[in-house]
Amino acid sequence: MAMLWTVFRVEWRSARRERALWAVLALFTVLATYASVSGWALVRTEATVAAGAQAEDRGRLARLRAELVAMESGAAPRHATDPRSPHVVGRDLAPRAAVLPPGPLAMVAVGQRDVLPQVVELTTRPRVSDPARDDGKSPSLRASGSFDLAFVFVFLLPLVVVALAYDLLTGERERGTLALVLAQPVSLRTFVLGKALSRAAILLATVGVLGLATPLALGGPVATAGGPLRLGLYAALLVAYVAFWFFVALAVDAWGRSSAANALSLVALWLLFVVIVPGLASVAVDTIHPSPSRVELVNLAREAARDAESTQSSLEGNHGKVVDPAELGRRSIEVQAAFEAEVAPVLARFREQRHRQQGLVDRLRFVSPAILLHEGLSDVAGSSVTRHQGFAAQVDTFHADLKSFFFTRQERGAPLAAADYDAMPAFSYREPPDAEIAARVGASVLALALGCAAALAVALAGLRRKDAVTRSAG
Amino acid sequence: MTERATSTGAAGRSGSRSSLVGTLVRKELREVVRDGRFRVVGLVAFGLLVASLAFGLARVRAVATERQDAQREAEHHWQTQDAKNPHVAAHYGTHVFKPTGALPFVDPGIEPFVGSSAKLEAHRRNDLEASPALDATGLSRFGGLSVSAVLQLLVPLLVIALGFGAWSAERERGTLRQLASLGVAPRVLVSGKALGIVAALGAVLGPALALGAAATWVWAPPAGSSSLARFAAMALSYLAFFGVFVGLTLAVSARASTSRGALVALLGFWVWAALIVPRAAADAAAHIAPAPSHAAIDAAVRESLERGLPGGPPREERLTAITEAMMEAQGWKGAEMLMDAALLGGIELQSEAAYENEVIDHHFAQLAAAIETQERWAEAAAVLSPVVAVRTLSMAFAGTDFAHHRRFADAAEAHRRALVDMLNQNFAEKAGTAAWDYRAGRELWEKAPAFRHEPPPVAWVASQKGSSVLALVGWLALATIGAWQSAVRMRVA
Repeated sequence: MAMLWTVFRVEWRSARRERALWAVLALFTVLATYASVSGWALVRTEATVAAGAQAEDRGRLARLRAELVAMESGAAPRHATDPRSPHVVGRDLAPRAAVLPPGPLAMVAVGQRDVLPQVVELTTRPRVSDPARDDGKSPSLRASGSFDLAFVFVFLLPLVVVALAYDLLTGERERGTLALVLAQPVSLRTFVLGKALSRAAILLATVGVLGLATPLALGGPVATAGGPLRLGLYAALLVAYVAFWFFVALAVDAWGRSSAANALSLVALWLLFVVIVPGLASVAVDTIHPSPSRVELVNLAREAARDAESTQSSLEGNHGKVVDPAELGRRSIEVQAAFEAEVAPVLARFREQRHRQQGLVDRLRFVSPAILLHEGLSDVAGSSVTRHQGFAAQVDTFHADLKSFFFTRQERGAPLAAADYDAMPAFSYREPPDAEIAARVGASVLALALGCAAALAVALAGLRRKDAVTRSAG
Repeated sequence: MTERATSTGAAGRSGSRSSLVGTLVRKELREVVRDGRFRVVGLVAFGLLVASLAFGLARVRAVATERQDAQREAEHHWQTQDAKNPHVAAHYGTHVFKPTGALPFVDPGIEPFVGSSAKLEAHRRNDLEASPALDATGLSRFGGLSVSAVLQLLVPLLVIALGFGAWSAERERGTLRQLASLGVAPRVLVSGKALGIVAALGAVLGPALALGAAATWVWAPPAGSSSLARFAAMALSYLAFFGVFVGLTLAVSARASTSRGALVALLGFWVWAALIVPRAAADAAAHIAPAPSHAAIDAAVRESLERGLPGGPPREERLTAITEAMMEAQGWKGAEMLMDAALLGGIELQSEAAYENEVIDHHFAQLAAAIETQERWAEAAAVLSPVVAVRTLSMAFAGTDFAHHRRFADAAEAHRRALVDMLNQNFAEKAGTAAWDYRAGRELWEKAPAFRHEPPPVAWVASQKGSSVLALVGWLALATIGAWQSAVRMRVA
């Protein structure tokens, strides 16, 4: 143990003078800092958009309520903007904003947040599908992916590990210093492990500062409920991921013939775990549980809406005709109920299929450490598909509440009063219990730890080989 | 001790040079093939190419059938709708579906992130809906498995693995001094080395290229000329891209003091060019050139429809002007008193639509300009990475980039206007005294123009993406000169 510490210190001293190592760390620092700032800017924009939508929502209601109060004292109503008509208010005048607030660590991972709607505006109209999120970013830029901390950690961090550790053993052998070192009372195993630990410590310190300091300084997740838990899971994920790649590098080192061959093998492993396996997993998900067709949904909804729409548009498009508002209200509820009954099974199938898809992803994530980290970071950041599915379910419930609020009044033929405005349902997102995230991310950390153990076993087996010291490039 | 290989011996003359190069290529190739690792990696690369091609083709065919069926169904819906007032029919509207691009199975491009169906109705330009991104899992962010991803990420690595030791390993083994003493011109040597890598690569990519061409043929047999031309242009872009990596690899291998140094430098460049620059450029472009969101555009359109365009005359004034111009064009100016109410109503609807179109054009042009600026910023990163250039060209030739998407969206909008115009025209001409009680039937619905959308010719694509072509050619020139110069000035020991 004391020897391990000595090797650790010696390696630290030699690493201090290695310019290439610091150049790699410097580049990594620049990239991670940019990613933090970019992620933070995105979250800030999101918060502004969400706050704007909620303020607009409140303002609209307040204005309508004021108009209504003015009317009670005798102002003349106009049908199309009558704040007393439950039909007109619910359907057109007062769209309600349902907001999915960014999580306490949202800046870490954009996840699917940039395509899934974070603000949904609801009226009593039927809701087949919410439009994809669009915040003024060209789709080509979106297709390139976000440059967030998740990208820096999932994709680039392993390559930094490779740069730091590909020649731990072979480098010494090629320089001819290995035989000299082993003339000292130190075993090969202790020597290589000490070197690896020393470099891992340097990298972990860098990652710790970059990964935690910025979110802490900018986001203040400690203060929020569930923040400390997510912060802990986030740190555990990063440590496990870094350790995994260090042990893989060590294993390749222990079995490798030359530094160049090691570098190539490690990049090949990176390609396998970070690009090829996730690509194949994504193909598997698409094949086993293909997304139901949205194109078909368009036509199915159209089919279902056929009568509804033609009735509706004949009412709306008839600019020249005056229609009795009470009659219009009652008929539109009936038309809508018929429409929704027809579309509901299709939408339910959609939801189930998406849950099945996500369930498969949850199981498939164990095939690659990169998927484990990516999904884990999305979870702690609150940018995951799972969280959004929970949000969508809450929005569904809210939509039902909103409809029943307006429709019961519409059917009664009772005009809205100021008290109704005060009793109107409002949406507020309820975060699922922390235990769910803890269990899912905890399993990921555990799986990464198992991967570490496996890689370490391979490495130790390689270091025990007789020719580990003498073997050289063929 | 450094010596320079400056030999321009007998081998420099043309007759024997080609056979000499042939010998060199055979030698390089033999070295590669004897290395078992290349066989494994080559097979894996080939397998991935074939698998991604097959998967891409299967998926794209399913999508194409689905959209064709949907388009037919939408047309059927339109034609079999009940008898109604033509303007009511314009409110009822119809859907158009985006045909799949020319070569989407090679490069899905932006398709996973954009909608594929537009609802066409009176008074508004709807955003495209049914974006696959809504149903994508987190896995989709790894980029999926596509031919383009394999070609852009994996093949450059293969080139590096094949060539990083081309010069440096010979130097380390001491065979470089021997080679230089033979009196073979360095440019002959460098051609031999380059062609050796290309030949090994060709063994993997050649069959894949043939399969791709066959797939293109199967995909679009009758009007295949445009698709095949696109395929050829795309293949050329990728060949140039691989050429960049061959040149750079040879240049670095010649200059590096050790093979290991050459490899690390080349892998570093690969990480930079293939991973860092494309994402960083895209991310930065969104910050540098922010564009309005669709919601903001919708709000601006609504606002202008009520009040008039910013800086322009108010709504009513502009509407009157449009109506007058329309009456004048039809030769009805001053005859308002003699016209029936329906005709006036129809003209009113038409001028209202014309006004709406003006407003929509104004705001959508602003949106398009902002997005184009973003794209130009991201594409400008081609100066920093050849991967950005080839990515842009690959999507463009596949017909899956934003320019193609916008072309479809604009065509759908033009179709919407033609449709609404035709319906309003019919209302104006035929309603007579019935006015809003006038009903049109299937005869009119069948007269509606059919929506057909063909991918533009390959020349259109090339003219759109000239700067990326230039960037790629620039990289190729740089890499070739680099390989050349390094070979001529190489240290032999």
